[in-house]
Amino acid sequence: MIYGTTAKILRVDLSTGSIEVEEFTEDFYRLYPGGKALAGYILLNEMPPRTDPFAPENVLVIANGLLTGAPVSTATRYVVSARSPLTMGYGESEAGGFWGPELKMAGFEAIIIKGRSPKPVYLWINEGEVEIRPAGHLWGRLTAEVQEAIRGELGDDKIRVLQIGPAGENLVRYAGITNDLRHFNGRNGMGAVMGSKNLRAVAVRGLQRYQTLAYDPDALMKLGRKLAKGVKESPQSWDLQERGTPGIVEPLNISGILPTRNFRQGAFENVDQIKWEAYEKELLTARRSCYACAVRCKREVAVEGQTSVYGGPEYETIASFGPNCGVGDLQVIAKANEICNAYMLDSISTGATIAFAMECFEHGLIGLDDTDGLDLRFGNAKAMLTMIDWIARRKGFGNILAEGVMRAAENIGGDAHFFALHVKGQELPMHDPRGKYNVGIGYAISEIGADHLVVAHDTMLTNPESIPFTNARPLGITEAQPARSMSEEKMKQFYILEKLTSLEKVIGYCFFGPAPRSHIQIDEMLLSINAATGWNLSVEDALLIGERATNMARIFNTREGFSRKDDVLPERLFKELENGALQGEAMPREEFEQALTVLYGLKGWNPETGNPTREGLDALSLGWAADMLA
Amino acid sequence: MRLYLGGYLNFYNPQHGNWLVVDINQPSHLKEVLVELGIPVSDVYLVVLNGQLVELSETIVSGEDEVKLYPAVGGG
Repeated sequence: MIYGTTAKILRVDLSTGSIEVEEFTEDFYRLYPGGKALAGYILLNEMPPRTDPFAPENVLVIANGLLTGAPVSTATRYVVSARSPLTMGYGESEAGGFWGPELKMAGFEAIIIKGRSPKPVYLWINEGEVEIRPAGHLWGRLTAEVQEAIRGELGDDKIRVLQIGPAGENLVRYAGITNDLRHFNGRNGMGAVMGSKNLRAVAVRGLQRYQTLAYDPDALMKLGRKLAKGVKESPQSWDLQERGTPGIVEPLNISGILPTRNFRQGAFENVDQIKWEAYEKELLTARRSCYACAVRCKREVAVEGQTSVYGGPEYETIASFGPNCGVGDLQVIAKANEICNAYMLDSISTGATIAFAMECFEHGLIGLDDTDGLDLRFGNAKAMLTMIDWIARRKGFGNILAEGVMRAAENIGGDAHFFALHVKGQELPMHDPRGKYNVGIGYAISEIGADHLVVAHDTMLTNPESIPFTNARPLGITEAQPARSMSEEKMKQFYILEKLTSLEKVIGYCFFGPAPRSHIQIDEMLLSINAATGWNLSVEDALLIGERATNMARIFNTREGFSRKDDVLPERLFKELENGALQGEAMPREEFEQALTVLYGLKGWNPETGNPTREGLDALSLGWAADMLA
Repeated sequence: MRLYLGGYLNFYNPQHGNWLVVDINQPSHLKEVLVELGIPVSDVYLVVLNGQLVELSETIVSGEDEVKLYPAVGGG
């Protein structure tokens, strides 16, 4: 028996309707145990370079983490991966919730979806049995309606439904995927890939328990109980439970790095109207969790007096539709969140794209004739809400914005490219790197384009006596560094922290699980992996798994023609912030370039091209992939 | 002094409310006040004194002041 896994992968070809199940071996499992590693291996080996993201040949992988579904706090996550229509590179997006654990309970680690169905369909996975069912009657409908319809026709309200919305059907390049209406694979346009395959949903029901797969279920259960109790004893996870991500709005504003008006500014004059205290008073109705998670960071809210079925806006959504669009009204932001989730758009890219359009409008690059009469100025909440709807339906000017800022800027022309804040085509998340440089390095180097979950943010590791720094020491992080530094020591930290985050994406832990961001100590993380698998991994062994996964994604991009020239930041970040605590500050360009060179060296990549080398890949047991670069 | 403990610093407020009222009879170093209250100064990242961002080590407070404290903020 291979412990900690069902070892089963479901293969579905939607063009032919074929359904197959295959099993992997222990040797394979040790190298590619799940999530990002499993998806990366499959994409590299089963998809030829330069596959059109919307062609039937694009391979869509949904892969659970090794621990997903284990009775351990925050181990809930799965990745969705394919070639991204937004970046044209390696595509990936993670989500928590209940769907991943349910897939494991139904008997599968991952689903590989190829081809394109001639008509809309959904998959129904019930206790290991798989069926492709018609979805013509679901096509075009909002996500809440579709979840209810699927549960109704299958006669079980406990079925977990993963689905795209109308935005994915319409191939909006940043359409996402939702499960349970409240958890999102938002980034990289994975919903559009699913839509291109005419696949509306994957419904799952399973009854197997993770404990039956574990090497030492008692040790795993004991750790699970300890971590559940520990959430309330850890200041960081306690705070995540109390406030959730909306709690960071005000401190980021004070720090001068709350993206405001398309990253022109770092402080928002109406922050009091959107900070946590306002959220708690005006929106909050309850707190919720993902499967077996004791942190409970999810918020439930009331929108227009009604409890929303789509959950409450996270920090990213608040900042994206709030300060970044110049809007200081929580009800509007909550409504924007609801529209995104009903149509299933990535709320980060949607808000960022509208902010881009607002700046183009204010600079006269587009006018009322272009926007079909919509006065797209910063702060116009009504126009912003209308535009979300138009983007999802590709109506009018929304059709141009549905392509994302990079392509929209090409379409608009002139100086529009300066206002298009993206890396590799993906819009910037809501963290201004001018106040935390490693976040900027992460935006630049991430294989999926601008991503804020590449490393723990710099500010957490500036004081050697602080809780997060103390908890990061077992990783080999020993020297506190300023947030606004890209020193060699800082790049060493980046290298370690990136491996950790990548490992989390392989084993299914949330960013809000392990230290330094939250309550699970590094030795506890190792214990959970070892209790599940029977392995005896050290910290270095575990980090190697993360590094291997990152390298596979990098190889995918190298194969597609990406290189150091694509590890860049938008020009605006090298310009001065207009207001706030960091007014007048900019990313230092030369230091940024030097830091990349140092980092490539640490990673075993060619410092000039940024490409992985055979020596580096051999050390990661990825010699087979080096052949792809020859 | 009115004291706001933001983020996870609020964990160290026994009442877990947002604000604390602290009696200060004479101008005092904020750092010493926090040590006395049992708030870990190494986790204080941002100090806002009467609406202005200031350095913890240089801050003197008196009874009429309003102070807001935040720990380092991570992503997510």
